[in-house]
Amino acid sequence: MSNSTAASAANQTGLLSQIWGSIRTTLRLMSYNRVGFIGFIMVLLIVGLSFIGPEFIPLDTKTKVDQIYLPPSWEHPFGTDHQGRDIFSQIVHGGKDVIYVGVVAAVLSTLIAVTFGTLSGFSGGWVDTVIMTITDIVLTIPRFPLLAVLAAFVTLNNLAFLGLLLGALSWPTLLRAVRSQALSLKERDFVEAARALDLGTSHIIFREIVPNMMTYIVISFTLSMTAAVYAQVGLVFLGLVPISASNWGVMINLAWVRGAIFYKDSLWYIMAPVLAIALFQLSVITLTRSLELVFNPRLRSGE
Amino acid sequence: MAPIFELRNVTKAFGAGKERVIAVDSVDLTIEQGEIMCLVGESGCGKSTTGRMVAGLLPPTSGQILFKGQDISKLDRESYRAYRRAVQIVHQDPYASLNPTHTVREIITAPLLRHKKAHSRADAEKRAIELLEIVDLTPAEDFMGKYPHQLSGGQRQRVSVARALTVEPEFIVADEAVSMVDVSIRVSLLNMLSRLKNEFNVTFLFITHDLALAKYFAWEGRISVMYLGRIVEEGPTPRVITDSRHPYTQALLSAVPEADPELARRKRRMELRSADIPSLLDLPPGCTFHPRCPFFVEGQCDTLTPQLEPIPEGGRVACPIRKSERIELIAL
Amino acid sequence: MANDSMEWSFQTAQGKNHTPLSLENVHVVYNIRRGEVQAVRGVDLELHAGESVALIGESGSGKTTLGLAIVRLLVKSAQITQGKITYRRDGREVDVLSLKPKEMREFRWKECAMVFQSALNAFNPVLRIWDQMLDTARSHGWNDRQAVRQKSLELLRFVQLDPERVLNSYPHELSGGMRQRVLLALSLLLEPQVLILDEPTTALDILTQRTILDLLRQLKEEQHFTMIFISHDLAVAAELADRIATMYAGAVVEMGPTEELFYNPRHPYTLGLIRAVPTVAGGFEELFSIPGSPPDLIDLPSGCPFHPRCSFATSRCREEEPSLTQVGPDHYAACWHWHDVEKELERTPLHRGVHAIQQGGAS
Repeated sequence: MSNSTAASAANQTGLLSQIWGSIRTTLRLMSYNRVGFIGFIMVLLIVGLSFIGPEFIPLDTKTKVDQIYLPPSWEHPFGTDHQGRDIFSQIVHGGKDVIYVGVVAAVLSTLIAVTFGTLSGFSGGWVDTVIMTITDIVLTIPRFPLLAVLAAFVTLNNLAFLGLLLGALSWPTLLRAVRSQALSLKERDFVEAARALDLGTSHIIFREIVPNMMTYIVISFTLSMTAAVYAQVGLVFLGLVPISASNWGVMINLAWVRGAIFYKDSLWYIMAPVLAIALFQLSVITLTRSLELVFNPRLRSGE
Repeated sequence: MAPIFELRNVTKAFGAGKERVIAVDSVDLTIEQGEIMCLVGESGCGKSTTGRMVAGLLPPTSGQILFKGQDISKLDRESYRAYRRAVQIVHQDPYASLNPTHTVREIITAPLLRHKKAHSRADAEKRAIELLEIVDLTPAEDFMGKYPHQLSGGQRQRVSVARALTVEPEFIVADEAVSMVDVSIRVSLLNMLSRLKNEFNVTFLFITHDLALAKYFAWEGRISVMYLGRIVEEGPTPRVITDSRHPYTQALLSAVPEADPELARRKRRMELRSADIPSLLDLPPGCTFHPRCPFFVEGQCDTLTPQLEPIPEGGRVACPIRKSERIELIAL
Repeated sequence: MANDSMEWSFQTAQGKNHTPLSLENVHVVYNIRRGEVQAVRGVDLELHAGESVALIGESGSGKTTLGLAIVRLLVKSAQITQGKITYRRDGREVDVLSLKPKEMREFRWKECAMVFQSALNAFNPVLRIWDQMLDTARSHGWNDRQAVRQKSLELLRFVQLDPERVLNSYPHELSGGMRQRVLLALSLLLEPQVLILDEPTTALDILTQRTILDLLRQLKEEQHFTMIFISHDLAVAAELADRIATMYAGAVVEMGPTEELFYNPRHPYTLGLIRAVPTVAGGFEELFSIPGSPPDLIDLPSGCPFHPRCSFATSRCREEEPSLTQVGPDHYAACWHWHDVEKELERTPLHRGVHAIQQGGAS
């Protein structure tokens, strides 16, 4: 496609206002589904709290023997842990790593699945066969045991590495789904029209097919993320990942090791991170209901 | 002038072995430049498949398709691409033929820019507006930013046509292009297509199951009637409609309900021998229409497959028994 | 082809002036985010025993909504805000809108059956046809298995299907036309008094369509069924209807005997429709489209909703919406200028009737 620099320069200011306009439209569209919008706000809050919160709420690391397992109060909204440290501050600091790993895993997983899934579904033939064979092989690898084995050989303390590893193991299911979507979209009239107009394979894949799968892609991304969050929390809980910074998974591990579930007073210690994780996952999942409205113009009723 | 399309003994089969279906069977068809050729038939007759083969979207299993005298399967890369651009298709379903995530602007400007019919975004925008005006979508500027779901069925079809026009086609395959549009809008779409034919010398292959529309749109053109993959009758529209010779054509004409109570009353009913429609997996021997045909002659119709033969009144008929017999459709 | 074994005794037992169904001033409104959709605006309709009325209109006319309102199968976001629907049988009268859900289920199918358009979706794909017929009978209180079977076989024979074979089949094993016929048989199972058919022949092939039309005609002429046809297809109305009501923007704009409407229409929309639809056997005719598009039912034009597309429109049309006035014997039109339509027809007669037939014959 031709691109004249003069024209694109002239479009700069237009571009900015276009982006702002798109953001406003997106927000408006998302507000149409109440549950989804609540999910969206919750996600924003949790992410904000986890990434910006630590700047304002310092992590309580001082051991206060006289304040062990205090119940929730204004001073300590979630009470204190086995060393008298404030749980709330730990929660605030604990989300960052968890979310980061989740996002990294989801991005990798989605990128692989979308690129190769669409290519596979659209091209057919030997390309399809090769990709599907690889997918089936990776699909049969048992994730957790593999990670457990790896943990014995490699120190999994680099967050990005952990995220990439989780992502590299979870793309097969998504790829198959993307492929079947591509297969069905390939037969649609507007794709046939694009072929008749000789618009080119890359145009057809990226401009015709993929935009129609966006809802699916986004939902798969969020589900990938939630799966990665559970996976890493599970890994930390099992003690396979020696992550030194505090994060929700570590909190559960520590609480469990300390037997926090056995005492009424210490229940908060284990429940707080569990609830934090659950709330985050729930918000992400309900957010997808609003995202559907953004990506599928037809679902916007009454426009 | 050479015909723009010639189909020589074209056959299309799907599947293999016991599941083999012959959707199009030994079709011979010639379409002249600038004419309107209508393919008429019921579902499963092969008309859509034929249309897609003509548009190059499906390769024939056997036979030749000649575009301007040249076999399309033997064209070099450049010529093949030129042929594919010259032949465009307009689909039936206005809700499926446009990408729901694109605006009208994107839909029309994409092919313009791709094929260098416009050299900048501004130029493409201008040309897109011109095209929207040609298809009677005015004021065109209002439509550019709309998404398909914001348009009515008729408007979407017009956008489909405008999109087809971006590559300056010489031939348009309209596959049930007005069937899913409101009755009162159909005529204006058909009139718009006629105008395209006259102004831009576009040849049309109009595929439909609606005989009344076929008659209207192709009155100055020709109709080919298809049954179970074969052409059973073909000729100038006035002749085929008022003086049909093949029993299947006659059955269709007599069965079509009329938007006129008196005409409906006076139409002669043609009783078919069987109401069962044969499956394409198990075609009757000889003439495939024989189990239902009221003029069935045992020994002949169930053994010999009739070929299309020309008749003096115009066109061809694939029925040696009835091709010279006239019948009255209306009891006066 | 006549079925002497059919017992339709109750049909002819009613008196001649019996009106099984009347609609008075029915209004239906849908609530969507953008606003209130006025789907049906004040429709009056009287259905006489044994007659067939066709509701003709295009998308947005309100015809399907009206049909659904009669059997109260509207979606949750729709409400019947005004009006009365009265059903009569054996000298008793019932206000359909006040029926409780259980009574409504009795009404639907037993008294008034609605046959929907997409015959594909009307069936449960994992049940055989016989199971579905038995289910329907049972859910309306008819538990006599033998009797249901007898009736089902009879009805399937009536719609010209091989009864035993069809009863044992699954829906996907039957063709579209066959399914439509089964649906028809199913609708007759509980011997309803009124049949409402929504687009009975759309999406069917010509020859299959003809079979269904002939069956419906038989129901009408031999069994004197009372029927409402909802369609956009004028040809179906011409074949089957005694009276036609053309609907536009949720209101009936013209109503009268079939021949009157086809040969002497008095509303510009009816005129426009007839001029836009070709015939096959009637020779060549110039067709005319109706300019513009159907109105937005949330934001209707002022006065007569058809005025933006009407060539007879004057300032009065923009201000006041006309109501139905009598323009002929049993013929009503909602137009201020129906006289002008009459004059127009004298000037340029429609290509219909004997005129068309003479033109259309082989020359």
